[in-house]
Amino acid sequence: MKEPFRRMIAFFRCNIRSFFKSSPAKGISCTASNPSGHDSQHHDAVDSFATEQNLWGFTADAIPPLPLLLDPARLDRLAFRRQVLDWRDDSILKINQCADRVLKEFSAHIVTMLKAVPIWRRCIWPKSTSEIIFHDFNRFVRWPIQHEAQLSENRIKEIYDRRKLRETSVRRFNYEWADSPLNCIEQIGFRPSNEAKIIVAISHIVQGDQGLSDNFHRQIISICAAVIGDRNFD
Amino acid sequence: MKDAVSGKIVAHLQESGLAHSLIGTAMLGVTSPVSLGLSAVSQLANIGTGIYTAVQINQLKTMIEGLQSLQIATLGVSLLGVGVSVAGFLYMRKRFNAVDKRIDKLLDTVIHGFESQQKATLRSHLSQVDGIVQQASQARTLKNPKAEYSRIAERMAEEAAHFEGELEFVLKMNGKVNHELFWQLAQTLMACNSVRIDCRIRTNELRNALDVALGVGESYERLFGRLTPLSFDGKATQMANTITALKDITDVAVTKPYLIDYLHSRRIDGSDYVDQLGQEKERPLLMLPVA
Repeated sequence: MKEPFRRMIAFFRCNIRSFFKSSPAKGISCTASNPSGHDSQHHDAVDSFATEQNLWGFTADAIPPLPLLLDPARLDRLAFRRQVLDWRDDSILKINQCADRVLKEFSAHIVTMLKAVPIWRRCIWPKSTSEIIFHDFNRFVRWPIQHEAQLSENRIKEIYDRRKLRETSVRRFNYEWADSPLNCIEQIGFRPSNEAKIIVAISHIVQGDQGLSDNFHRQIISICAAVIGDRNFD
Repeated sequence: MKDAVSGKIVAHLQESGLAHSLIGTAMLGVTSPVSLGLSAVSQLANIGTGIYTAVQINQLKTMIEGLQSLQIATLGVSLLGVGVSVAGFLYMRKRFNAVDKRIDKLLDTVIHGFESQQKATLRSHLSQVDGIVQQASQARTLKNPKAEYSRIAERMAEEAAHFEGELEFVLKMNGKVNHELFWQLAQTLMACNSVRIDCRIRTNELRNALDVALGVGESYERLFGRLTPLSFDGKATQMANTITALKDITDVAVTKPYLIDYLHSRRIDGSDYVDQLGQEKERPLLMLPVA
């Protein structure tokens, strides 16, 4: 007699929601208020319906979970994508800031140089601007921007290394210039009366469309696109 | 949240109704991510302790500082997050009305390239979205709210398609993208998509919610992924905030299906889940352990 009686007691104590297995969603008890306030005896009685409890206080009956529909491993790819996008935006911003800074410095340098042009050069046969500024342009503008690009290249390499990805040429910059960028100022005579013209032309060479800075921006965007679609990662 | 060693997902991070309320109050006056950043934290500190305790605000401050990300603050300006309705459709409507007014002003004074017919169509769609959000806020009191939520989800899908098209159009315009118009349209698109997914979760159509969320994530990746700080007409350093916000928004959107998948896998009722998020009054951020 003892056994049926014990089973009957257990029956009355068990969680009534567990009878409705056809509606498993209702088996979830959303008791965020105070999980510690649950009757411990009741918990003992429903041992067979082992419950799990998360940090929020959700309690769910131990119905076997359905298989996941999505592959959690894909999250890693999303994290990598974000890293590369961050690299892209950071690099573009840094190169842009660098170009702004060196352009300001170089413009001031040009003004100083123009002031130093001898009187006779100002009046007759002024030298070509491209000829005069060639070396200083490289020193003040081109190399600092290239250095910034180099740093950016190192940063994408770090991302690759951290993820132990295969070395690839896709992340390398092309530092060469197709034509001499200073060709467009060859015809401008280097004298104070042309100061505004020279400054505008140099601004265009550095910050304009297809300019030095833009050239790297385009490369960064194309590297980013290539790296995100890189099959090495799959 | 992933285990740093094994790389496995150990928990889903979920903002509760409390986080939405706090962030929403702080962010109501913030019209774009340009003014986000550290100011978001100070705004949180300034919202006062009239309703919420200082402890809760500090929790949220710590959360934002700790995450070192605008992602949480971004929720406030983007109307994102699983169960957006935990913030209340009313809050969403307030936020949306602010967007509506901004766009209206922009169309009248600033934006070139929009034909008058196109402006009228845009205005009409904005009014429709406003109406649908209002219906969503009233659906709770219906005898059969699920039918209404389903209808709202369908209508919001149409509106989302429209605003996605408008965004594409703005992005294809020559020259730099008008930041203000882009952001307001993006917010409207996000509102439509968030309500769509929210309604599907509320009706416990988790499989469908998952499909919709996957589509939304892909669309944000495609729309926002190509934008850089130099794409907009503003100062690059300020536009970088917008880009960060867009990346955060995309991250939230592309990871949302995983949370929905988890709810589906654990047979958690969507409606109960959203209600429970809304009732949480102590913790702004919750963790749902996977293991």
